Amino acid sequence: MKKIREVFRREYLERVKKKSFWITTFVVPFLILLFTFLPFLLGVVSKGKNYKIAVVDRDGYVKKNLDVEKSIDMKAQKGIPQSGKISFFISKNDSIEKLKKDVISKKIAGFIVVPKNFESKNISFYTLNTNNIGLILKISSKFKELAISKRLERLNIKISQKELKKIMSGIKVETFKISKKGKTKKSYFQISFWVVFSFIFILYMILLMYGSISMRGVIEEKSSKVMEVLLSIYSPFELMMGKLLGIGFVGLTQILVYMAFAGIIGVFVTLEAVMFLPQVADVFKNLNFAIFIYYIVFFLLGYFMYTSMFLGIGSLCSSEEDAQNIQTPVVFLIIIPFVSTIYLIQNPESTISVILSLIPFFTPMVMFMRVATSNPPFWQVLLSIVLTFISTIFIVRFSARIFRTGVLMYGKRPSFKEIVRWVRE
Amino acid sequence: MQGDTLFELRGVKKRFGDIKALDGISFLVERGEIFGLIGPNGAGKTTTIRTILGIILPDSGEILIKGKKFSRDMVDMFGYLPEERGLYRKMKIKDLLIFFGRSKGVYGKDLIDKIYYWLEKMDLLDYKSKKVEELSKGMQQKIQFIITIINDPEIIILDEPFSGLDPINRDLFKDTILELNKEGKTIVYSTHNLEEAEKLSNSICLINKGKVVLKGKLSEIKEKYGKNSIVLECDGEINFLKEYDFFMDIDIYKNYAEFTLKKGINSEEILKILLDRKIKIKKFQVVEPSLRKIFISTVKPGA
Repeated sequence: MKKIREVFRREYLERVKKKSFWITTFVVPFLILLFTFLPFLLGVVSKGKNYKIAVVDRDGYVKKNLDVEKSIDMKAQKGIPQSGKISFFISKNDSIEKLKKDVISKKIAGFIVVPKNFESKNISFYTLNTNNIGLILKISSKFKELAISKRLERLNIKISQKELKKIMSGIKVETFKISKKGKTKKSYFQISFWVVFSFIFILYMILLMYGSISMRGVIEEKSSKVMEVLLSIYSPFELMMGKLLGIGFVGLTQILVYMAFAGIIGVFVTLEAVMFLPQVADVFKNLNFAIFIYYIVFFLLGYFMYTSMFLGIGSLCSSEEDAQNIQTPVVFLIIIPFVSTIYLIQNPESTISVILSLIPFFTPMVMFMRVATSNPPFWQVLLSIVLTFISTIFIVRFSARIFRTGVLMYGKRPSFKEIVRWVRE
Repeated sequence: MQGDTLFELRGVKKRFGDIKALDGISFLVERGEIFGLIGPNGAGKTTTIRTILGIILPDSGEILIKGKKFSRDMVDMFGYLPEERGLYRKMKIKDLLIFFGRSKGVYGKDLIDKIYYWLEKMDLLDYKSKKVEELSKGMQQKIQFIITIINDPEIIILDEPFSGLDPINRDLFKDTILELNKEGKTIVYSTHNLEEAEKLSNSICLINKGKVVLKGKLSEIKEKYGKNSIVLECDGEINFLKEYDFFMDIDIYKNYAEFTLKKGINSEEILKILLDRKIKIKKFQVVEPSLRKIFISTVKPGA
């Protein structure tokens, strides 16, 4: 154990110290986080601002119906981070060029051109900063109201502002999934499609990445001849286990950091402190803790299964070119479940999906997809985990036997027959 | 402590496919000696060393260390310098030494002290924060040597320790080896350089084609071969000596010859023949045979 610990320590520390690890683990999610909060941050900056908007009314309806005196408080709309006021005024001049100059010189925040019969056309809004979502949303809802009330007027229906608001509010369709036991559960399939898919994509990337990283590590040790010293200190099994655990922990660290970032976003979403696109917000509200646990379990199973194979392959090769060909079957074992989930995710409980999720090589991705998108019977989940666990133990032992002999081989790559002999010995 | 067996190989055999790499190797190494494992390239030196270290398992035969069969927990007793040197190129020197030190069971302050001691001794202290790949080849060799001995091993095994070294490092390694030996470490090293083995070893084991050809204390071997070895320097044709059936082996150059007499043949008889032929003798000396001579005479096919 002491020996395994030292290999583990080196593999972990050397990899965690690398720049590339810091970039993929911290910088990338930090940037994502930053972009998520950017509207919020911008909103804070523009707090209390008064937006003066000129309206060029070529229709005539707006002049009569827009309450020019009353400015609109932007905070009135829930979830919009920007605070401030919007006040409209009807522009006296009709020249767009002149208004543009006013915008540039910041006399006004922007201007709106309302064409004749605007209710069946588009309205144009000109401004310097087109990223001000709060402002744009507010303006568009105001003019939507105007357009609808004009349409109603043409039908000779007169209604109050209050009634108009009621007419405009839509309803949401909530879908419920009925499980075989008759329980109903709020389905979040549509919104979680992309989330589950990105979870699986990250899983796929990490499995492939760490697999080939560990393989390259072994090849490097062989080609740099440091292997000989290592083998005088470690048994091949200790070496392989140390590597497997050390590199696996790097992957686990990365996943936990990602989850921490997701958690931070989740906290902000639940507190409703920050504006998010409603889709994003819903996704985070629907993620539960169990999904994360399953994710880690399936990551670990997949990692040990695939990476031990990669380590075995690495031990057979003296150079990376050598590895190109023999790693292909293993790479396919990772690609196949990834590609199939893209199709299966639309019908996660189909027979083929169930079968694939129970085949150990495909379990990590396919079963995770099922767990995340539907309600698979628990016995199937458990069975798949047990099956994958048992096969992982076999694969690790099998790879360790190849590794034991492979690490000392140089030059000619052994034939398949020879490899079979090593495993039997 | 002389005369105390530290480890022993008994009839060790190892095949690689059709090739008999080791064909019943047996020898014993005593505590505190410098033991030279000698043989031409491909004789099985590296394979022998690898079996001692447990890197490869013999097909048959056994390896006893302090009377016990080799097991994994004995690995920390050894320090091993492989023939093909290799380090983690991207690691910093200090981290590298910490890794190998810890791997071999040295920790904490003790380890740091040892690292500084050896870096200073090898004149590499300024490079401790540099990466391996930034060092010259000679420096990397020194680092590899430090790794070998960082755990203060009882048995130091060096596979061709002097190959590829410049004269300065060669002396540094040699002095360090002698110093370590003085401290009581047992040193086993392999070489095909016989002059070196002759100067350094207490005991030798000569192997060829996986078999032990000659083994024992160097002094005893030399004595055994020494009484009938003759070096001759002269003026004149001496090729005729080959016609006589007096020699175990004979090596004739233009004005120089080395030969070993068969048992029962007296050196005076040779001298008499030479005088009869009126050869001008510059030097006629009974010598201890060089290891080279012994090597050639034992390894040469048909000799």
